[in-house]
Amino acid sequence: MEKILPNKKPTALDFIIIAIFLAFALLFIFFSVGGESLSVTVTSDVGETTYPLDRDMTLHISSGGYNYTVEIKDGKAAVTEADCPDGICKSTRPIDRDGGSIICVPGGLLIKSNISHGEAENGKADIIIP
Amino acid sequence: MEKRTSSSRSASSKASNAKEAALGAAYVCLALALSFLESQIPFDALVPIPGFKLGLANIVICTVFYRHSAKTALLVLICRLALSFILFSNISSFIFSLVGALLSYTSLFISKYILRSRISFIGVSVISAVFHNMGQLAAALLVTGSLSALFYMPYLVLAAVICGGATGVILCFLPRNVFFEKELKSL
Amino acid sequence: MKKFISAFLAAVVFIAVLSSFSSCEKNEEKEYFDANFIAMDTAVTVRLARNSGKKDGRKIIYFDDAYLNEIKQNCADIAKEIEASLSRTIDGSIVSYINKETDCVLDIDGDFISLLNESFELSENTGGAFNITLGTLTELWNITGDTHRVPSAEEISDALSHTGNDKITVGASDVKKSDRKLKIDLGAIGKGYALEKITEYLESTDVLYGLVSFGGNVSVFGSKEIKGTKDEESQKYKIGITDPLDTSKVVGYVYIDSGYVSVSGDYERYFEENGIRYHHIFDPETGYPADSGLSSVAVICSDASTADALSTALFVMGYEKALDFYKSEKYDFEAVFTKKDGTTLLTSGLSESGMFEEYVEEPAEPANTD
Repeated sequence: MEKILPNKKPTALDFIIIAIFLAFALLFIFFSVGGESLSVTVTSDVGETTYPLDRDMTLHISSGGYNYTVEIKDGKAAVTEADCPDGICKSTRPIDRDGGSIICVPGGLLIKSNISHGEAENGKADIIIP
Repeated sequence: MEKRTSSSRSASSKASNAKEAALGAAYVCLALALSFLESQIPFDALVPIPGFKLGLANIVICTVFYRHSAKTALLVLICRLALSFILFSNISSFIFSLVGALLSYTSLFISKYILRSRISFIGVSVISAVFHNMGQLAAALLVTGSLSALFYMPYLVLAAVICGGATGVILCFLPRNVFFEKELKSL
Repeated sequence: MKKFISAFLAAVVFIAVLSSFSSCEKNEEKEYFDANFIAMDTAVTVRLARNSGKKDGRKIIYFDDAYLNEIKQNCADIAKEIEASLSRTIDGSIVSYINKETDCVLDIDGDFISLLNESFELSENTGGAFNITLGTLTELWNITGDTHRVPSAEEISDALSHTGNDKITVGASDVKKSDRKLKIDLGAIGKGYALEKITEYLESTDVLYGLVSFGGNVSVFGSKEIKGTKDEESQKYKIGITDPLDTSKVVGYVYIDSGYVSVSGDYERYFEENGIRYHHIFDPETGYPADSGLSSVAVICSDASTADALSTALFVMGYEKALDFYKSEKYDFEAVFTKKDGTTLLTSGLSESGMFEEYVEEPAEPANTD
């Protein structure tokens, strides 16, 4: 049986293969760095889910026995309807690219922005005391 | 290494079986030692990619694959991983390495029998490194049950190209004699 | 062959440099696992370091989300349990029993008694600036409720008459009130106490390091050494203190490697009427929200409940008295004061140690360059 061995010297195909892998990797990197995700994380009885702010959507959430309607529109998230006793969540300023959070204590609902303060990103603070 | 029934084994073939076993063991030890050595280098401080390693042991596997047979290479690979696990008792690292190594082993078939001499050892090594890292990534996805590990994919590919390339270069420098069994005595 | 090698190596270096730049920021984001929950009327954030360190001197492995989520759930359970005893509003809590119109409550849990004793000691040492007997006042003002009105002077002095450390005695497992209407309010120390228990729990887990933010109180645990850099500063946690005058900014950063930071300010809970802000930190002498010239106080201390209580106490005292208190060395702490005019002042220990970095407004530049 004839011995099968790779070429002694690097071949053109070597470079092509390497180039393909590199292109694939670099493309991936540039395409994901391009989209900085503005998103909010909704924490409720059910658990935690993250939603992007750049896609309009309406969420219906039940938590702690209360029902909420959360609207994400034009890059902002706000509680539009809620049957909780104090209704503070409805009057809280919508979360936008500057950050913020909406809390409904009776229902255990928490909507938090995932955009850190500008200072936190630049200064890489571990946390900021609100 | 051909199969022989035990009754027809002559003394010389028993000796050569023993020689093969010893050679196999030597390969396993070499691979093990290389992998241990490279683990001592603190890459974690420089490279934030989990599972970043040079893959020096792959040099041994590739050599065995081309010099002896696919089966031998597989045996060496599995024995090396098993010993590594026994010595360092690290289950998750074992699982990750196993999946990665098996996938990378599969790529060797493609390299040897399909691509043949159209590529050099550099290509062989890069392909097997990429496959290895993708295998580890797949294992990570399965283990964590979340897609968050996918974030590392491009960096793992980059690391594989770099490290695979380095390993391949070393393989290229090996004298051709190494890959021909009979000529080993003349080394 | 040699020409090829050098070209190849050059390409490798180039790619490595490129990838390290682009991977830099994203990897920083992934350092922590963030989880939130609600307890004691506030949002709690738990940040846990994702990497689990070296096992057997070999690779770094990362915790999976399920494991870290479980840890967060345990923290939430601890917080809820403490809330169940300390809350004024939850039925069946120890505090609600004490706040009934009774003169004696028996069979009280030992931990709670210790908390009470600690609180009274703090109250005495701060000259009454920290006071847990202001329950009637809290109820009267009802800052966190729906309807807001400024109580009349009579209502306030009536409520004040039912406050005071002299009207309550703590026994080995009982509490006696000489004024049946006296109510206790542990709001100024409760979160610190809960935070301490949560941090103790986190130190017992396998998580290498992290932080917990509990409504104005922050704790750090574990050690960041695993990051691998020798630079002293990166071993410390960088904690930003929100500017009370502009909550989208910080006044500066505090660097600590252990302990707690507690902030009390007039911007946390308040309502405004006729242009006057009525916040939730009361002056035990006047019965009105404390007006000492300070907007916020951040206390750095190795004990959680002390930090929480002192931040309130110093806020009530005002800068001058707070400095005297600091010099009296009754407690070991440092503090950052932000006055109503925006100036920031530090305790001498803090400014000497260089642990505080003031935030300087940088000329506007794009935050994320692609």
